[in-house]
Amino acid sequence: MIIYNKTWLYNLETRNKAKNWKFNGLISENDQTRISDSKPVGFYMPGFWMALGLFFFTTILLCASGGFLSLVVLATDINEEFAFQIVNFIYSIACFHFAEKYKKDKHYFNAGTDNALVWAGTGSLIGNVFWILFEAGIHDQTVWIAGLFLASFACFIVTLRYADVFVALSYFISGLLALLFLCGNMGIWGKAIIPFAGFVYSAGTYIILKYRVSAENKFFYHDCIAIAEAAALISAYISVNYFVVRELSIVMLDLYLNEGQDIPYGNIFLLLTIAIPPAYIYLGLKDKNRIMLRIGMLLVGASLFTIRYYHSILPPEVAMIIGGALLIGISYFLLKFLKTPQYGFSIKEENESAGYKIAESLIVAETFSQQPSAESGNRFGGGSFGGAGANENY
Amino acid sequence: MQNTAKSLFEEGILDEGTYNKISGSESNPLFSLFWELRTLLYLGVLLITSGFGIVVYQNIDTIGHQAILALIAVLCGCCFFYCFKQGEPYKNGKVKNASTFFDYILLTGCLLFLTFEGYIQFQYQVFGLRYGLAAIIPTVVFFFVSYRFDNISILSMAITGLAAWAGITITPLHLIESNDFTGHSVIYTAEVLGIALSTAGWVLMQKGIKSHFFYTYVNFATHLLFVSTLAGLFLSEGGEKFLWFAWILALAAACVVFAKQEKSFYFLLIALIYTYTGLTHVFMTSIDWDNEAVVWLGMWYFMASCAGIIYFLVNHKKIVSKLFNPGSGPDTSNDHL
Repeated sequence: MIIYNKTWLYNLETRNKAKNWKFNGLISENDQTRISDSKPVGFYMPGFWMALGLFFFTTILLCASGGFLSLVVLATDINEEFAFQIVNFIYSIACFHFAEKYKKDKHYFNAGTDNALVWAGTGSLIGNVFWILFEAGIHDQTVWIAGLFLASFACFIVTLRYADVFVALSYFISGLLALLFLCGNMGIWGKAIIPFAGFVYSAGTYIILKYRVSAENKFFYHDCIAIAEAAALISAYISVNYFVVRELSIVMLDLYLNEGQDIPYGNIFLLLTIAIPPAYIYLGLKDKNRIMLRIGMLLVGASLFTIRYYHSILPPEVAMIIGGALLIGISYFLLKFLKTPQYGFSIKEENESAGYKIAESLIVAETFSQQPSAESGNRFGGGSFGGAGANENY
Repeated sequence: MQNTAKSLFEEGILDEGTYNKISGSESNPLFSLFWELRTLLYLGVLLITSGFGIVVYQNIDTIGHQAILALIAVLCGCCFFYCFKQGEPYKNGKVKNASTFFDYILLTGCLLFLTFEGYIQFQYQVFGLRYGLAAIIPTVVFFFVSYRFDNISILSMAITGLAAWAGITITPLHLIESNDFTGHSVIYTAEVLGIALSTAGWVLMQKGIKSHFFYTYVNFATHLLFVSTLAGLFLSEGGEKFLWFAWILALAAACVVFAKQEKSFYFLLIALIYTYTGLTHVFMTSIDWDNEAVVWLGMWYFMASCAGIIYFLVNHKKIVSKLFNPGSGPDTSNDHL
């Protein structure tokens, strides 16, 4: 099913491993050359910026060709929507045809052009499905349920064929949305189970991807599975997040909560909101799963905001100072502690760090820099404190 | 794929010693928390300096200015004292500071210095109406600190500070949005600043003083130059347009040379995108849109130009090597791009 040459994919992985071994001083330059020579990879794989450039210009080209086709249809005076739908369909077919050609014959592998073609093909196909459904005179939410299920299905097939990360993510999200729309249309009980449906869908996806995918497929679709897993972890959390559930219940179930009142099963949601991020961090550290660990760290922040929103104990600035001091303290302690590796953890800089350093410098410049004002007159107004990027209005 | 090393060993590509080394390290892999902890540190510094700023701002009336100023000064002094004591001595090349924590102490010190300086100006008008002077002092300090301790984050802050002194915002997300490019004075300032930054970076690199800083200088300078030149192009009319466009082409040529020298495709891409924007603008404004047939021409323009650029990008090695050294084979030295 997958379009790429499987031997090359294996060889590519071997080469990447060799690069890592070389970086860690496990093999010599000679070894690495020997590995590269014996493991040919015939893909056209330009670097990141090159691929970005190819993607950018291919996207413009595809938009212009779409516009050109529409102009042709307009010029023929057949002003039926039907004609546009046919042309749209031909356009999707053409995109997939070129994607096949580039990936199969020219061996493009995430080179920008092929990604743009796959996305344009999938996008125009899905757009067309919605158009036809709306055209068919169905104007209630059934359109969304049917359309999203079809979209999810289409994305799944496309992912199987091209192993495209973005399409894999779209598959997960459109499936989730379809399910939520379905529940939302099943009356009061349907609406009430939305959080659980979202949670079960996400957790189910995660477990299936983790335990029910063969080792071979896990290898071929590695990146797609990784992104779907990440999305599943996040959406499982969002589905049962206290803030999300509470505010959505108020809107969707027309609840009127008085002071001190809570949503049904509010405590369960609060408990899950508090428990999930530490659980992710724990599991991430235990299984050395970096994605899970990072998402857990991110969600701790989300949970803190959620709780603060309803139960504010400290004024924000005090909380900021205490939190900041805690963060610095914890990381200082760990940086000292892990200087010599402990329990399989270290603080060794990895292969990727040069690009990160530059990104970090830009982020620092973005958040902490002084902004000029038009006349410099009020440059040292209230906003100059601490260069606290987000807090200039205090 | 667990046994890559094993199969390589069995195929006879790796010898036994190497294989044992690899399998030894893979049986007990180390999981690095370097970037996670660094991010936490960054967040901690962000939270603490912001929170501190708010507390100070809210309590100005009760604590008293001298007390607050003294506290900030002491904290700032502690940070810098630590850095000067613990930091490696100055070298022209890259300096590796022993601990990750070091960079963040330095950053906190710089941010506190900014607070301190803003505070005394706000409260006591130390610099009076010489706002330029007030703006340039932290910039000078940051330039000094960034070179002394070899820190590109502080260098980026110094460069943005320098631009702020000239009245321009050049932080990545605000370059276009925060600047009013409808005035010619901003455009000329930006041009001068861009040329000055890239020249300064180049001269320092030639002298071998922190040559790895050059990238940061050029990165800010190219975006600033291209955006301001495009603004100039959009504002100008008639023959003046071609002058601006010629200037874009000159900048692009400089970028291409730099990209080739640094083997960095990033700069080639920037040059290409900005030049294409300029070219499209010139094309669109120089044709007469009243005629209906021209719409078709526009479509053909986009399709043909993009197809041409894609062809160039895919084959750029062949094309460039043919242009520069006809007869020789394609240059494969840039393969990792």
